[in-house]
Amino acid sequence: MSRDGARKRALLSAWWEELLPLRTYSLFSRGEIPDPDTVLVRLATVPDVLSIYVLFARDQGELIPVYVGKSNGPKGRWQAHISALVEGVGGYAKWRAQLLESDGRAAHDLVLLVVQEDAITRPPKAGFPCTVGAVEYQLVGLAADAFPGRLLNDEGQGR
Amino acid sequence: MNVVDWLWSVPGHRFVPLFDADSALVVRTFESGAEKRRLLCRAEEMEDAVVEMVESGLAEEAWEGLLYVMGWGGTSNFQPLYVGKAERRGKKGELSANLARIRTNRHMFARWGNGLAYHIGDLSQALFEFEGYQKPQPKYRRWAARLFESHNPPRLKEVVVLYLAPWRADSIGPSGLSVSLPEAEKEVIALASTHSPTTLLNSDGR
Repeated sequence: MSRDGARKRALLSAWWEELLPLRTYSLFSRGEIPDPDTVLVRLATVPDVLSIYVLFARDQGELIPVYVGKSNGPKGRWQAHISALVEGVGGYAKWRAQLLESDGRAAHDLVLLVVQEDAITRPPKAGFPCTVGAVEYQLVGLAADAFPGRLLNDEGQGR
Repeated sequence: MNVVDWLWSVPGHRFVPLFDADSALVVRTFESGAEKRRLLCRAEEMEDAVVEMVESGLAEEAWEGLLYVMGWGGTSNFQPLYVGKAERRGKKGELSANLARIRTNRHMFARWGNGLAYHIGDLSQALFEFEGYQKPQPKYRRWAARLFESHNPPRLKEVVVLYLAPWRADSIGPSGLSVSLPEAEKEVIALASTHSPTTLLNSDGR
């Protein structure tokens, strides 16, 4: 871990521990071949409102954040992400290398946390703004150092 | 967390006028290149501060770049207008062109250079409408409207200042956490957007 990694991991856990039980969706199980149409089925109850989301890979029982983002339509956004993951070109080559085995099967259970804007009651960093955009940046910054080398986001990470 | 209090607490920071302006707040300009583009002049104090900070920074292994905040006011009433950074390393991990040969590099000059796609070049283009490979950007039209009372002559509404701070591997951000320069920049933008919601020129947390 680097740069206060342990403290950052604690801040992340504190932020999402209450949200995980009620707002998490299993996207794909380890060994399953990801399919974009299946995403729409598994996220069927997710409302199409501004939400922040965190994709986790369950690695040896631990939830590791691998991608943070926001969308007004999370279902469609994740259908697109998974479609691009399967193709694995451009920026998604890195996604494919990290999330899928060479035969295209999920290397880990992939789990999606989706938090609607009105369900965000506090920011991950005390004293910081609580908007979806601000929370997104805070989560990316914290996760990049709490779980070095695992986060697929480009923005906001040091070189 | 009062972001302005935090800015003054960062070791090694500098606080200088940004533009070379006369007593009537008219910024001096000069003509550059074969195209004779009219460009705003940076204050000599600002140029000296940037050169000194970059040259001393590059001599330290742990130095990661510099954070800057353009604003109005003095130390007791500083109002942030724009937050940015110049990182030591470029996209491929090499020394960034923004900082290389800083003493003579007026094209990029730690992001405050005369070239288009750099702050002084882009702001000058928004004011004086010269031709270039791209048209004046909406972002810099907003800067021009915020900073200047008139385009010709380029008279400022108020003195514009520039805060500069070196960033190192062990630097602590406003969150109290050890953070990278990109994360520190985002923390300062987030807090400054709450401190100065109607005047901050950064949009969408960038």
